[in-house]
Amino acid sequence: MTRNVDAAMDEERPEKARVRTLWLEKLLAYKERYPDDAVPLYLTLSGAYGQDIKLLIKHGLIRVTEVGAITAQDQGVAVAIESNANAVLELQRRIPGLKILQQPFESLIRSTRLTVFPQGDQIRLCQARVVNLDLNEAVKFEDVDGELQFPPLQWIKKLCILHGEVRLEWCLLLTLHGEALWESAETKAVAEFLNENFMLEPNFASASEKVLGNKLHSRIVDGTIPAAKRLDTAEQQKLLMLYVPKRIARIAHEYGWRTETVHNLRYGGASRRAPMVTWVIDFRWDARVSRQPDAIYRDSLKRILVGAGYIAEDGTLS
Amino acid sequence: MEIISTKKGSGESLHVTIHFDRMRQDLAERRRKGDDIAKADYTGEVEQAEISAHYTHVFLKRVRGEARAILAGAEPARPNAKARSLYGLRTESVRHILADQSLPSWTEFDEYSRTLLSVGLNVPVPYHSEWLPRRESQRLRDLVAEVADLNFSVEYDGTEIRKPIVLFPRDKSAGEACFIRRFTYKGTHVAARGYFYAQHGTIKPEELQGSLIRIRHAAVGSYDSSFLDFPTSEGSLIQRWISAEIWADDRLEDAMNIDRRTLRVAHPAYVELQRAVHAELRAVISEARKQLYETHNVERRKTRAADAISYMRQVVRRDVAPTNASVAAVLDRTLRVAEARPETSQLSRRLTVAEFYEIVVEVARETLPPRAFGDFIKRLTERLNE
Repeated sequence: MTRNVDAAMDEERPEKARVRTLWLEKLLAYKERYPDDAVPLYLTLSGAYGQDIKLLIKHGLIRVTEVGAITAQDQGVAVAIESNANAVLELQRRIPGLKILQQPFESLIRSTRLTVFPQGDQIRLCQARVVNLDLNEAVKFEDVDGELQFPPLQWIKKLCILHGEVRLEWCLLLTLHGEALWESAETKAVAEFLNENFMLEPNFASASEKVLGNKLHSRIVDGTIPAAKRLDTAEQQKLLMLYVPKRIARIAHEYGWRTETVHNLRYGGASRRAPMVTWVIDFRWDARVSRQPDAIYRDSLKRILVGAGYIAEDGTLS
Repeated sequence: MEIISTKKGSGESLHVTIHFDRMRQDLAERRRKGDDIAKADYTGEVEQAEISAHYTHVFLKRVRGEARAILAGAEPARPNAKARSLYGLRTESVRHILADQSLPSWTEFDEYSRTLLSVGLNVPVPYHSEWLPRRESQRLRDLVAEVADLNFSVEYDGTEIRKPIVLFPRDKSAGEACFIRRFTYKGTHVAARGYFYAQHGTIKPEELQGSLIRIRHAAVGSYDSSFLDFPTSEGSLIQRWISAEIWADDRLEDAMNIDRRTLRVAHPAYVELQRAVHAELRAVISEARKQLYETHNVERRKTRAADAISYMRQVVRRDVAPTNASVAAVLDRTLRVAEARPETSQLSRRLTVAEFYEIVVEVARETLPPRAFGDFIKRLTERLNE
């Protein structure tokens, strides 16, 4: 049975096509910079149709044989993760020779717990140069002893730790639903987290104001923001554009990674299209982690909104 | 192992996971009532499916050990070895490689490709479009069509598998260098039909030498180069020139061992089939000896004589004519007559140096004066010793 997520992925929405070209640019750049890597170039939740991997094939990043199967030499370039058996079969049919792990990403990364980690060859797979978490879910928090946890952010924390072992710069492609259906308490916690750095980093504050708009920005600053679920769709997307990369920057700097948010984009939300948010974030190893970790974090904050923008229905980027 | 199955018209699919990992548990943990031992367990659920869907998908999961490497992709069997691979090739490319007469054995391929070939040999997939010389394939049209009508196809990493049987004689002119003999048998315990293909020269790859038995279109193991224990002393050379496929009826299934690769040799159906196959093989060997071996020998002798005459004419022109033109003309005329009828010529004979030496000494003694004879023999002997 065709899953909604696969149908959505297969549908060639211009916005999604634009996002894929951004992914491709990043993959081409990494392949050019590191042609002989021991780690995979690309780890992806590609869905049953593998549109992103087909793009890699089309642009020569992965070579194929005369029947369209991935050549033996390029079989480790991309690795797909797919838990649904029928989707795995479809993916194998469409892209023979593709390495597919039939399991959920959470199983590969061994849960959100920081006491268990992937073993053996799975470590190398998690150290891929480009990791694409194209998730069909919204940011929903779990309250763990008062701490707001969102499992994908825990996965990213574990990816930071795993990449930290080899200190190879890497890139995260993250896509989430652009809905922030949070209650007041959760929204307040998010606002406090954002507000923390508005005072210390004026550049970040002004860039935030520009993205959020004066009104929403002020309500975050003075603590009068309503429950996020009451905000309109665009405002919810903008809130996520600020919150998610900031949380990632916060997580990453603890493990020596300075983040460079290359793209921070929202799309959809109109014409009955689901609102989405997507990021392209580079992780660069920064030796200041043992001396000035806060400096790393502040540098990361400066770049969070540099690539902020919007993808229109026709795929144009602004 | 995971199985997902649904049928047309039903909105439900069955999704079952079989936990074979139980096999690795301690025997005591798997013991059930009485003497029963659990070999696996399963969990399952009924899920929604599209009404029009009709399929069964079987997923082998957690494949371990060597099997994992074989299924994962094409790699040489040994480090640094340059094994050939059929991975990712179109059907026509596979056929082209299999038709290559320089391929002595499937062991030239990597494990992956050998697995692919074995699968093709065992399941009822169609034949390649040109798997025999045209004349011979015409004689098997009905069998080929019957297999094609089963409409059974297997795709292996994008490659459509065909039967890996491609038989062409080494001599590209073909046609004359091979033949097909149809085989039909109706006995008390078994009936069978098929073909025997014979060619001049050893069948390559060697995996196709012998006889392959099929029951309900599935192969019983691989080609048996002993032809069901045919005496090796009978036409031992020609046995390697023959490749046969035999479709036996269901009654032979009773003779099949549990491994489904071998047959019980004492079973009446096997014994009867063996006798019929051996009788047919004797006829094939006899026909091959006449049609292929002897005919080919005559042809080879003719060619060898023609080559020898042509070379001798060159020598006459090059070495005799400058010294004695009239003798050269006579010799050339004689050789031209011989060239026109090489089959009657003795010039295809192979002589040892000693035999040739004896002839030359004899002719020299008859024609040369004693002094010249002595000089000639001395020079000739020195020359042959150089």
